[in-house]
Amino acid sequence: MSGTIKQLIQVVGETNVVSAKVDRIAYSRDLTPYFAVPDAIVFPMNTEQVVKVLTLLNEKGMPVTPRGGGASFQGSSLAVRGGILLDLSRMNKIIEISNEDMIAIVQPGVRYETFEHELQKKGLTFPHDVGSHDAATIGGILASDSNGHHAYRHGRVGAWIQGMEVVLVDGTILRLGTRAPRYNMGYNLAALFAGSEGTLGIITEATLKLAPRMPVEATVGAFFKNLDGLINASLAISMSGIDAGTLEATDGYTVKTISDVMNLGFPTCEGNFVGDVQGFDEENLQRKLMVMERILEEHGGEDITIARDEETINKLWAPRLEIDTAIVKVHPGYREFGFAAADPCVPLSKQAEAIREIGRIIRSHDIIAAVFCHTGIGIIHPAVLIDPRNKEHWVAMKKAEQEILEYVVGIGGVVTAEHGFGYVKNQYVRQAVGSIKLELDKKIKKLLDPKGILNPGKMGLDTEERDSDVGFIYKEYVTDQEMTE
Amino acid sequence: MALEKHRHIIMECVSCGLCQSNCPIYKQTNLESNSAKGKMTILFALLEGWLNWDEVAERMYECTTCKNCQATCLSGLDIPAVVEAARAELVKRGLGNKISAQLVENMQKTHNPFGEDPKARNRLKELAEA
Ligand SMILES: Cc1cc2nc3c(=O)[nH]c(=O)nc-3n(C[C@H](O)[C@H](O)[C@H](O)COP(=O)(O)OP(=O)(O)OC[C@H]3O[C@@H](n4cnc5c(N)ncnc54)[C@H](O)[C@@H]3O)c2cc1C
Ligand code: SF4
Ligand code: SF4
Repeated sequence: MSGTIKQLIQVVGETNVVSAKVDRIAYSRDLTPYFAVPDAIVFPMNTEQVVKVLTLLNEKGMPVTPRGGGASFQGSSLAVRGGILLDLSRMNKIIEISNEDMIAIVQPGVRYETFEHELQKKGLTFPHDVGSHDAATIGGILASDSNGHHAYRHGRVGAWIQGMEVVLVDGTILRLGTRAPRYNMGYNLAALFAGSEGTLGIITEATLKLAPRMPVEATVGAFFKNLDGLINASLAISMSGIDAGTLEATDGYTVKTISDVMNLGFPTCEGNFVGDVQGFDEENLQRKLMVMERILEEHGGEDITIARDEETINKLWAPRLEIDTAIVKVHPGYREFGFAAADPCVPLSKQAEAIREIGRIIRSHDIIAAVFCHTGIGIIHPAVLIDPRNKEHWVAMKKAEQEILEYVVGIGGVVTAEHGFGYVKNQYVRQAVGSIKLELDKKIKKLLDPKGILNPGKMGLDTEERDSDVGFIYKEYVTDQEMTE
Repeated sequence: MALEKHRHIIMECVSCGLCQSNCPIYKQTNLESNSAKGKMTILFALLEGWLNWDEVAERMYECTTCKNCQATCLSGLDIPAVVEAARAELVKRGLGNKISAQLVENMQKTHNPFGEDPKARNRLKELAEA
């Protein structure tokens, strides 16, 4: 290893190679229960250095795990097979923002909120506001084909890639697209790299489509005695043609926990709704708000609140965002873990039933559940909050995970719709996509990365197991193998 | 050990990284070991016996205890309290901050915290007057 480190230092310089044990350990975790220590962290500063690093490591057949901010929920950016963690966060220049072409050209390490801040000054936005905020980089967002809070209105991020520079594993630089808004020239490879989770190449630059920033907006909140009312209201808002930004739901158990702990005085409910809507002027916004308010009322919404000031907006979002803060106040040492059932998607008509049933499944195993839903797009986010020193809790989490995924597929849903497979879903990939697609995916992987060095151990591509090639943060963790014994 | 009292905070950190956004040290270095996320991982490893005190010392002193991380933390964790407890233990173990010790030594020797010749100040005065 020391010989390789010397060669890497020659490429990127001494300050851009980190190999002290203390630092390698700092890069060993994400939200999952895993502990994966890389052999070194390498920070390229430009495309040329990425080319040289990949050429060198490909010759040696050494694992390379790309990383942006490391905010992955699913072990996607953990170096589960050791080797080099290729940290793109120091390639963080915004190269250009163009109002005329409505594009920005950025390096992969640019942080989401930092980017938005610069766009805001020019009346523009890249509306893919992931909940990981400034922890997320553009490279990580593109490679995960992320689904921001405003995905209801703006869709997934993949469609916003106008051009891309990708370094392939042998050091070849591939350029896709231009400043021109559209191209239709053979296979859409930008779409392939978006969501490839760093398994096919390294994104070193992106040309991104931008949208105008709407000058006025409001947040709307309401409580529902009945989740069916909430989901029907959300559907009616969609059917009204109002281009709301986001439509979200939180289940009543979670609302009560947060309200009690944080003293927020929320009413008893089966579900809380929060959404936001933008307008090109005040009159336009007010018309949309009037319709939204009427729909919420007609479907049984109570305590309907329209907020324009930061304090009230934060209060309306509290049910959706404050569970992690609330839980540690009542259960010190408890925390959320990234598990395989974190982001399934169900048909819109099944959302109310699924929120109820998923909450019931988790709670039936005597652990704490919080259930959220992007109601406009059917994605459900169950969170399990456990005591990681309690073996029983790990067993419960794993049983619940399996039951949730079986249930979701049974009602016509999919296993993952936001975070992707990463590492934590390895054993569910074949079941989710079927053998024909998985074998085709493996052929694509083989074509672009014959030695399998790029982000190995992910997406079910070279293993359909998790827990077998990696360490665990807690010794109480119960592995898949132990679950079957 | 003072750090034991804060073990629950170290456990509560979910490694989400929201604390990177306004940490003055992390913003300069882009090194995870400098963020609150990295520090909690390092201290977790220390408590588990995977790292020694002398290995973590430098990273624990690279923190202004400004509490910016607490403001953006997903779980609202008081990270500086943990860092300060770790520092107290480091000092007890003879692993005090080398830079603080250097400043004291400089003051004693040269009456200047940076160890520079105090006469240099006169040159500044002369320049200003000129
Ligand atoms: C609190 C929290 C909230 C979140 N909210 C959302 C949300 O609302 N929506 C959502 O979709 N996700 C969300 N996520 C998941 C995650 O933050 C996002 O997917 C985000 O895009 C990850 O960005 P990152 O820079 O941290 O990527 P990383 O974790 O560093 O990497 C993610 C993947 O991309 C690959 N990668 C990174 N950079 C490159 C590159 N330059 N070239 C090739 N591959 C690369 C990595 O190998 C890995 O597979 C959330 C996570 C957290 C912790
Ligand atoms: S308290 Fe320390 S870790 Fe937290 S933001 Fe300030 S410098 Fe960073
Ligand atoms: S924001 Fe809080 S919980 Fe998240 S990584 Fe930082 S310290 Fe840990």
